[in-house]
Amino acid sequence: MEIKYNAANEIELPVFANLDDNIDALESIFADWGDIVKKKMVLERKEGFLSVYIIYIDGLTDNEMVERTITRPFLFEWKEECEKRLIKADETIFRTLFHNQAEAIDLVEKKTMMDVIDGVLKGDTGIFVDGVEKAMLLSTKKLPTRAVNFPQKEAGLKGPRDSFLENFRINTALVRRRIKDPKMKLKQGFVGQRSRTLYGLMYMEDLVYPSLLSEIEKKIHSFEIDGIFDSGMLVHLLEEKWYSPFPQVQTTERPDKAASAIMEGRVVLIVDNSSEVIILPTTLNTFFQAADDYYNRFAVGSFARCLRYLAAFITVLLPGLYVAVTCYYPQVLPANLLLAIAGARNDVTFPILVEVLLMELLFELLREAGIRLPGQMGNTIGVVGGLIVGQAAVEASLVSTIVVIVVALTAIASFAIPNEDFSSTFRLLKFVMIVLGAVWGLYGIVLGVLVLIIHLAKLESFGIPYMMPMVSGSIDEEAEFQDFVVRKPIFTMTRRPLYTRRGHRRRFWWK
Amino acid sequence: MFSKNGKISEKQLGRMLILSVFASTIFVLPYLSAKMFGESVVVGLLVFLALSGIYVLYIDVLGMRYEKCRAKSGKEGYVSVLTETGLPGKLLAVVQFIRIVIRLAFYILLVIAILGEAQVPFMLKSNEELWSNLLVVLPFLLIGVYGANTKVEKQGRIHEMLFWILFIPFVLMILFGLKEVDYKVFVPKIDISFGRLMLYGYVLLTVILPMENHLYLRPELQIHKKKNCTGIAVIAAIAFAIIITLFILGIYGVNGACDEPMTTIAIMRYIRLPFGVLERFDVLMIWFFVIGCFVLICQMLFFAGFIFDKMSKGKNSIWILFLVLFLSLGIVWKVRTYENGWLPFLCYGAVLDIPISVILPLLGLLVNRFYVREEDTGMVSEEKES
Repeated sequence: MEIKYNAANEIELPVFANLDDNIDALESIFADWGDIVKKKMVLERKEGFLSVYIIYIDGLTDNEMVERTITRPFLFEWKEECEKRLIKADETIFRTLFHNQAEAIDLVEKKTMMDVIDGVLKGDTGIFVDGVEKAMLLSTKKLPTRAVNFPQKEAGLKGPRDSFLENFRINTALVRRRIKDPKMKLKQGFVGQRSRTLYGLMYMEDLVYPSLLSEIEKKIHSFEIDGIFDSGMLVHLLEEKWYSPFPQVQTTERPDKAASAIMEGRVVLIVDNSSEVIILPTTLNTFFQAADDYYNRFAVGSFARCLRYLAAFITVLLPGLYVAVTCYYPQVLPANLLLAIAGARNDVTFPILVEVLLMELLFELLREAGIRLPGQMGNTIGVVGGLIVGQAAVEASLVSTIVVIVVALTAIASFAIPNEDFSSTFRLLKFVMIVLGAVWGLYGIVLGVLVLIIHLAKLESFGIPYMMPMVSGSIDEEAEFQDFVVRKPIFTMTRRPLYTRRGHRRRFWWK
Repeated sequence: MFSKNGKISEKQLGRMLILSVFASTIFVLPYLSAKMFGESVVVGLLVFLALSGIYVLYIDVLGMRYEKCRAKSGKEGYVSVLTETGLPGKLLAVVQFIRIVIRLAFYILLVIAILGEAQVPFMLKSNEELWSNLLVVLPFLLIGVYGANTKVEKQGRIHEMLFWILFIPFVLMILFGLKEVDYKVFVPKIDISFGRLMLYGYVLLTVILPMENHLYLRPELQIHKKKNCTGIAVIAAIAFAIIITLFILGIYGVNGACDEPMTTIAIMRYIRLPFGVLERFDVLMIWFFVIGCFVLICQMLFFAGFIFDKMSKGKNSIWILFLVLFLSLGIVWKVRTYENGWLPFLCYGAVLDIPISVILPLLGLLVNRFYVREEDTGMVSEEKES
């Protein structure tokens, strides 16, 4: 049988009444599939034999479950059932098999071939019965997965230690176990013409703005792509300003963070096969928030957050400022410091700009190499690079000790930012600032900062200004500053942030 | 969602006005007031404050008046009235464009002077080297265009973010420069005639004319309150600028300030940070001065685009920003330096700009009333005929 696919890569075939036609179609579709399991079973009854065809993919399906819920009941219990009463019509046969014989709850009827194939590709088992224009689809998924592990990129000292996995259902369960509220909804869908990646939007029905939800759905359905293999790919397609270095959606591997976002009226987008979920909308401030902040005492949490803001400034500006001041304005520095810099640079052959760029590039190379190498070797690279190469570079008069300190401080500061996507942006901007500082001194850096400020002020994430609460205007201002640079005590954070639907913002009160 | 509504909050309106009025005042007031009032600077500045208060309140009242005044299309506000009242309205809009071009040219000259004073690399003090200076300033102006090429909502956000940055150096200056001040300058003296005092106070009003932007911005408010504190906030900002001016004159001396057109920048050399953190304060302060200049340039360009946007009913106005910039650079090329420019600018301000800023909104109201009444009469007669 020749199979035709439409523009959306779907097969437009019904489930035929004649089982041989269905088998023909399935044989054509799954030709050269080494891992497909197909079985035609013949069931006995008084009126003659009844043919049933079962199909599933080995490796994605729980074989034992198929045996237990389909094969055995159909072959043995069916015979008993037929002896008890007369089952004539084909439709009745189907209904009997569906309701009485199959020992499973998650069993659905499908009328089109595409629906059946779709299920089979996800690990379900398709069951066709001769003479019926319908098929059964039994949920028998058993996908290969790893155990719930520690968060790798968002580690913290306090709080839960579980993190999302590549398994969609485990991820939804990790959020569900934190919020036991029937108002938390999960809207599912598929994205990617060939990959048919499952995604789910988790949100609180009463807290989310309906317009936000519809905008996200509209955005997801506004494109066609052959495959989505990670939430990172979807992130790029959801962002409004693709050219911006700043991430306009937040990703997290921590279920507690995702649950907390849902409680704030935000939407969590879970993508199958991805160990990170997407949180929408987002602001710059949320990238500086770590889960620990809320589990620690407010003074400790606030101090840590202030440090993170300082770290961001150091990451972006320190190397550029060093270049600008030492190249153009040495008179600004106190005499002792100036002499120390001059003394350290005495034998260095390269100009300051080259020296700083060299060290910064060396650091970035070491970081990249450390990520690619397996765990223990990655640590070794850090030690070799940081200590041996740095020391050797200073001794060979390639760089001065001051530059090593500046670069090391910048590197440490960049690691203090809790979100990897965000800290990468800052590390990238650092190079722009170094070049601007070298060309125009402080004026160049101010120009760079101005462009950043304007860009950030213009940036929005699904209708929410990126720089909120700094640009919140006059709306609910007090509530917005509860959780900014300083995280106020939990009992004073009485209202939810601006993402939450108006009229539903109260989240804490004394009894 | 509150965003994407094309409106600004009262706080954003206040910040936009305060920033532009404060930035345009603080860079020029110490030098101009010392030069004009001499030893009578305290009294002179008080006169200037009183006149500013009257002007600000006048604009505030007109703003409220324009809130109720509807143009032909039913939209309220100064720009709608200017752009929708036929040929006279269009002429008034052209006058506004010309005023923006002239003011922008003065601000560009100011930027060049400030950057020269702040020792920016490749900035040259010689009049012959304007090309080099313009090349250094050009990226700054382009950033101004980038900042101005937005709708009012995002413009409000930009100013909200910049607000505190501009005030930092002046607060630090007051904190660390207290011991350097000669407080004799604060003692009021009068050694010029009352007429001159009033005249100079009036001339200085030229620097606070960005207050006129209130008329453009008021209809863009999200919530119109009966009690609007923007005017009072702007007067407070002018008062703060006057205090800093006196402070600067207290350190620099009135005579010293007369010889230094960029007194506000130069004064930072005399500020010493405690604990020997930095030897020089002035160079670092360029951060804040450049941001102050940016506010001025950005707002001028923004309002040029804003008027065009309303006139063309929402067409992309980026080219008009470049046109305004190009025309302003033409004036800069002619005038060449800030030293050459400030006196003609003040004269232009006293003779044309201030009277226009007072009369033009009134004219707008009159023209609009005439046009709207004419439209109404036309409509009534048409209805009768039908």
